[in-house]
Formats: sequence, C-alpha cells, structure tokens
Amino acid sequence: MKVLLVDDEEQLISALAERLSLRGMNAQWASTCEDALRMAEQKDFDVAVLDVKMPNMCGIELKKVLEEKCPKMKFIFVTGHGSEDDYRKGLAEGGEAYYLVKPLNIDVLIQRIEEITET
Amino acid sequence: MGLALDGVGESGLKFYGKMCAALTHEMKNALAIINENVGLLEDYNLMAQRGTPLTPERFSVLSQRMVEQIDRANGLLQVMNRFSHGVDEFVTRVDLKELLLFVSKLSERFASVKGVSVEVHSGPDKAVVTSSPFLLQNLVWLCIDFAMDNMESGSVLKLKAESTPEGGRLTFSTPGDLSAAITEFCPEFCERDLLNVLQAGIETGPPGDLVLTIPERIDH
Repeated sequence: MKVLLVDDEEQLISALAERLSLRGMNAQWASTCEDALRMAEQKDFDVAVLDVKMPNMCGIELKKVLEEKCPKMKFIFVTGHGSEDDYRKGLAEGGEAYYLVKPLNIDVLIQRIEEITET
Repeated sequence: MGLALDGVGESGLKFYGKMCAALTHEMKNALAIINENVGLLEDYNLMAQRGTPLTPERFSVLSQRMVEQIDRANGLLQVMNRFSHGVDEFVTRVDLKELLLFVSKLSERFASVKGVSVEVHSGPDKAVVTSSPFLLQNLVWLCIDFAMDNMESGSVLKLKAESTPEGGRLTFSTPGDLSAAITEFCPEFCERDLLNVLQAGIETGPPGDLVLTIPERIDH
C-alpha cells in the first residue's frame, strides 16, 4: 500500500509516516503542496492523506489537482480545526468516512485507508 | 424577545471567535504532534520488547520534538490568556507598537495560510494612547485581514506604529496599492461603528498604504 501524507506540520507528518511504515505501509510525506504534486508525478500512490488547511493551497484544492493527475488515487482529509465549515467542506468533497480530526488514532487511520482502497 | 447586537458587539464577537478558533487549531496541531511522537515511542518500545535494538539518538529526537511542542502549546496558551484579559479594562493605556506585535502574533496562522509574512516597525517616539485595547485589536485585525486579502503569496505586510501630536498613527503597507480597494473596507456597519467608537480615522497614505489615526484619548 503506497500512502502519500501531506501536512505543513513536518514533525507530525514525518512521525505518522514512520508509524505507518512500521505497520507495513509504504508511506511517504510532503510538507508542501508543491512537493506533494512532484512526488505524485514520480510514484503511483494508492491513497493521499491531506491536511485541509495548508499554506498556498488547501487540501481540498490539492485533491482536485491530484485527482486529475492520478485518477485512481483515493483521499482522506485530516484537520485540526473540527469547525462546522471545514466539516461541511470535507463532507461535500470527500465523504464522511474520509474525514478525520486531529489528533489521529493510528488504528482508525489504517482502517480508513484499508476501507477506501477496498472500494 | 429578540437578541440585538450593535455593530461593535457583533464585530467584537466575530473577532474573538475567529482568534480563539485559530489559536485552538494551533494547539490541536501541537497536541497532534505530541500524540504521534508518543505513539512512535510506544512503537519503538514494543519493537524493543520483541528484540529490535533501541537507538538512543532516535529517542532523543522524539523527546526533543515533544519538548518543542509543549513550549509551542504553552506559548499559544499565553497568547490566548493575554487576549482574554484584553477585555478586563475597557479603556486603558495602550502602547501601539505592542498592540501591533500582539495582533500580528494572533494573525500568524492566517498569514501562514495565505503565504504572507508580517513585519512590525515603529517610529522614533513611543506611541501610547488611552483607548480600548480589545476594540483596537479588533480594528487592527480587520486592517491586517483586509491588507492580506489584497496581497500575493510570498509578499510582506509591513505594520508601523508612530506617535503624532494628536495620538498615534498605524500604517499598513503592502507591495501593492490598497487605495483602490479601500472603499471595500467599510462596506458593513460593524467597521464603521468600530471606527466611530474608537474615534479613529481611516485613509490611504501616499504609496497606497492603509493608515489609521488613533486619538490620544477616547471619550467614553
């Protein structure tokens, strides 16, 4: 399973990538949308886990760009906000099952990753 | 019975809510980082129990990260606490440079998301006025938000506090010209009421800056 994690909080995303790797996933991370797009051009990821709010481009915008480049890629949104506005945006764009609030539970994240790659 | 808020009350509540949401969002990020790094430590612990050798350097990196994030969360709480105490005294002495520094601190996440950096400068003389600290913070935030909406990512917003014979002047400078957009700044009664209560003036400076004039003392 190849997973791309994108969040501007490097210390969060690098630790999460390491934890997923320890559980047998091929997890790589990017702290900017530009790096994420570059990585997606070089490798076919099965799933992208995207922070909703990031500098320059939000996760929902990044999803739209990634979807065009990688039509088979699945998406999970992550946010620290938990605001009504973000939640509605997440539901509208990604579906309820693909929207997680920080701090993450690694088991729930893995469960979601497995669920969406089975569909 | 209906609930009636005047423009200043509505603007203040929106400002307070927006800042609290941003600060708690940042705190959640700090907690999320601690959560993942504690999880990673637990993972290493389980691996060690199963015979994988431990690397002390790795433990050091993870514990250092957690110390950094605890400091970050503590700093955010201090900002939030200071912000909350901003309403303790409705009118008091306000150092305008300190005000700009504090509101730029409150605005950090918004500036970061827009890819804008904020610099605070001051004139040779300290600018101190007798006014409402909370309402001034609100007005400065509205000006910062307005300026950032009219800026490109990667540019710098310069804030300057200066003393004047009448009180103080706050200047918001962007690489572009805000004068064309300034008519959009006061479309709502909230901003106008806020300016009226603070007895403040708003105008554009020669290079297209947004300029607030703050009286030395407000009548209340």
